[in-house]
Amino acid sequence: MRAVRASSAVGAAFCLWGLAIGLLALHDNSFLTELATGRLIVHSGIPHADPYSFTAHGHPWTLQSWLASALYGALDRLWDGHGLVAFHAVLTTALAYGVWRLTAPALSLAGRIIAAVVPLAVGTGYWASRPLLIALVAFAVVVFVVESGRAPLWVLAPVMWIWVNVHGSWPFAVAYLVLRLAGRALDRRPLDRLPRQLGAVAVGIVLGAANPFGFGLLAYPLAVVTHHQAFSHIVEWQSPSFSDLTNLVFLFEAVLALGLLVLRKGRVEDALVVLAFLVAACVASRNVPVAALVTVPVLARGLQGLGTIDGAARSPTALAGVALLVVLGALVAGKELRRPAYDLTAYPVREVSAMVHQGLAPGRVATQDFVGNYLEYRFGARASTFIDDRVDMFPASVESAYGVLLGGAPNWQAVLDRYRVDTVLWAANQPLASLVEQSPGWRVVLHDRKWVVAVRVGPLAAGTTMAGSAG
Amino acid sequence: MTRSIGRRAGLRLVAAPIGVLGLVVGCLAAWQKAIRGGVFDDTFWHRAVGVWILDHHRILTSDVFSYTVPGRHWISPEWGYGVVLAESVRVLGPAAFWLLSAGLATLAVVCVAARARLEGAGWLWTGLLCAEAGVAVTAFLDDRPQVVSYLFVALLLLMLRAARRRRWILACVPVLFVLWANLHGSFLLGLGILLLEAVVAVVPIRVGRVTTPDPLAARAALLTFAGAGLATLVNPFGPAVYESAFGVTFNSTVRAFIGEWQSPDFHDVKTLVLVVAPIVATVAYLAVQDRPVPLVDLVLAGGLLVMTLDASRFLPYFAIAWCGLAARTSPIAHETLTPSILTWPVAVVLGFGMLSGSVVPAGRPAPSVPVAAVSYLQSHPGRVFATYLWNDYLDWEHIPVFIDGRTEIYTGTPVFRQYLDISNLTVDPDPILASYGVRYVLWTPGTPLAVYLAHDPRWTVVRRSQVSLVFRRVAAPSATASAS
Repeated sequence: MRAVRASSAVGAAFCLWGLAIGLLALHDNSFLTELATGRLIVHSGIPHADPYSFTAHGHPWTLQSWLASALYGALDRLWDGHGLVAFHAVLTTALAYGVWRLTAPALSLAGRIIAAVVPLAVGTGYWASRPLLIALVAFAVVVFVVESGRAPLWVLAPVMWIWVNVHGSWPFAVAYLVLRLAGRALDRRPLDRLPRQLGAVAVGIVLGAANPFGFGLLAYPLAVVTHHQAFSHIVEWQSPSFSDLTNLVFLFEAVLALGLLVLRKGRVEDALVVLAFLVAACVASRNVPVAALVTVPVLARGLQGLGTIDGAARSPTALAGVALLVVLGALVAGKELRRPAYDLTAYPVREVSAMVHQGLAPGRVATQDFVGNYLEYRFGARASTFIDDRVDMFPASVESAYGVLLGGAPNWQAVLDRYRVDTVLWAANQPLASLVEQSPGWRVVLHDRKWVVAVRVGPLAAGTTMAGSAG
Repeated sequence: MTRSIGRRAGLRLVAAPIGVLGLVVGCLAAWQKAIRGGVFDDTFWHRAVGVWILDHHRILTSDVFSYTVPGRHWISPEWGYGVVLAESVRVLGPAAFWLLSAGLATLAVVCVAARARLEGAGWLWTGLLCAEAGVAVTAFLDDRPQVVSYLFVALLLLMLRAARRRRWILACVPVLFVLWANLHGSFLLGLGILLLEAVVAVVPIRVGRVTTPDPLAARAALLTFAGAGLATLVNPFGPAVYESAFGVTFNSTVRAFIGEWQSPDFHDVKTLVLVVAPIVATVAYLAVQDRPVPLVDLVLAGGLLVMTLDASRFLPYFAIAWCGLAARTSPIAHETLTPSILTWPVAVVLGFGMLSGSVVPAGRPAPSVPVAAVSYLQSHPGRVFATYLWNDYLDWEHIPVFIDGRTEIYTGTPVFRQYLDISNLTVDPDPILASYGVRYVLWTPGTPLAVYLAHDPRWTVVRRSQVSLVFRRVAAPSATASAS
């Protein structure tokens, strides 16, 4: 048997780390709706209008992640949901491997380890089971092709087709390449394959229009601009809090990369990339893992030559290390996959069961957005939700109405009347829970430590204009 | 040759005014905000503390403003600021409010300008740096001791720069720290700067092109640091002032709930520009130029950038420190332009433009403060539960409060949590309000608590305006709290 490099053994350890991240139970609220949509796609084709809510039922819906949803739907029944966990684990392992490959410019083992530890630590907090994860893998491939100088260009076209059809973040690839082009011009270095790489990416994007929504999907990223107001209420679209350890680690990575650029008078090209993506991360925390990824090769270049061990030496010990890590990975995967595939402790599972028992759900139930995602996962097209986290789909009037309920504003009752809401399921520590409890128009039928369920008492006020539809 | 001279003259006419105009903008930005804003927020309790100390001729060491934690031990290095504010208002009148906010901010910008010129920056670059510093300081402008610290940080950095030429200036540094430790807890930042200077003076560091080109003499730097450290002990509380200063900085409740301790919101364009523009400018310069980079300035700006990203309140300090780094790494290496005759009329027009318009008279509370409602409460005795910010105004008007801007005094007690529970309506507010014997609630219309109380038969609205609602308990409360 051939001995392997020490660097391969260390890389395998990072892959194991990535695997461990991916094996966590599924819990993300956006994922629940993606999965519900995947089930719909498998059974009845791709929806082009909202199938879930009673506030925007039938409203046109560009399903930006249709391909990811379809994949989720196909994997849903595999191993009682564990197929999805395994898929997620494969993605995070691939991403960890990609990160390790991107550290190659560091040359020394110590430099590569430092350059890889930081993004993996960021990933531990951010690599959730969402289509963005597939997009990150695609981005890692793009960055790798640009960095390697040898990887075939044609790879970029299918990768970009996939990216366009799984997530709306694909313009990052264009931005990345344009920044590198501009930086390289400022550095007065040859552009090499960059223009052709940009061309291949462009071809992939145009090919991306071959999808059930046509060019409409390519226009989807503009939703960030047109629905800016709605997005601004979503936590992941807000600026990150650097009191959070994961964000602090990312900040460390960016500052270290910039610091090393200064110390070693690195390339303008690298500086532009790090700065632009740092700004993107500061504007919206969802961009933190993206920025952490593109910073890896820059940080690795800054750490070039750190220490004397290059990890290129082949040895039986390294081979044994890899074998041990593979066994360990199998053991960890085996253990984790025996646990329940879903962790739904953040959702009102028991309460919704009680509502089903009382005939209150599914029905015209007002809930918070993440609970709407859960209802869609649980009831599919029968969910009849008030709202969920698809802020790009819901009309502004629904988002505004939700804002009224969430903030406990004076016209909360009018909003519930307007949408003919029969039941309110709300977190007990939110203002609306106290308001419905106090109101004579509502009767609390369930109140536990976390949730309140209240039903309407008596008929709607006369003259109430109905909004939404009979979803 | 003639054409070159002509272009140069044209450039001079344009570029030189920009430098001076930047200084004008930097200095007047604070005044523009001060004369339009009115008094609000923590200023009220700072003055209340100062008035109490002046009236009682002793330092305040326990709470006298709340009915929830009366007598609780409380010391703060900010006591001196309260006294200065209260005495200034007594001596100078309401204009003191403007002088202690905009006036100090202007001095901070002047210090930044003086330092930039000492570092060799030309007028154009100095002006742009002043605009950055002035706008950053203005973003957090208020009659609060932070403004003193903005000035003192700028002044300290100026003194340290000037001390390279005149070492005797270092002897003045401990005097600065005597004042600082009695005005604001950010004297810790000043000590950090001196420690950094002392370290690089003792151990010259060179990492790549990052160097310490002109360190202070090691002995002088160490003596200055030691002297400043000892000077901070000259205060009414002795070493306990450190406990207070660190206590606020690392108070988890303060960091979790107070806005200025949160990471900056980069959706705000001003914040984005104030933070990102300096980083871009510096990294672009450093990526293009081969010149050495001064270690102290780089570490200070970098450290304060990280602190700013953690807590936005450090933004003005970052801007001031970055200006020092930027002055030494000016992209305009040999600026020979000087202000032209065109400069002064343009500066006058610009200044007039910035300051013209409606003015809120000095010392008058901001329009968001419910002055009339508080006046009503003064004539109707009974405990008041009011919003966090308005409670500071109640301090000023001698009405006991549930909680106020001295957040640290309430953490470690149930009071802060209870306030959040009531204001966010996460519980039925009545039992808590009843336990403290609260008779009136002064609250913002349209908020969950106001909506709740409006429908609660135990409460009735007795005063209503666009700014505030006053609720009165219908039946007299039975106070069961220990606070009485």
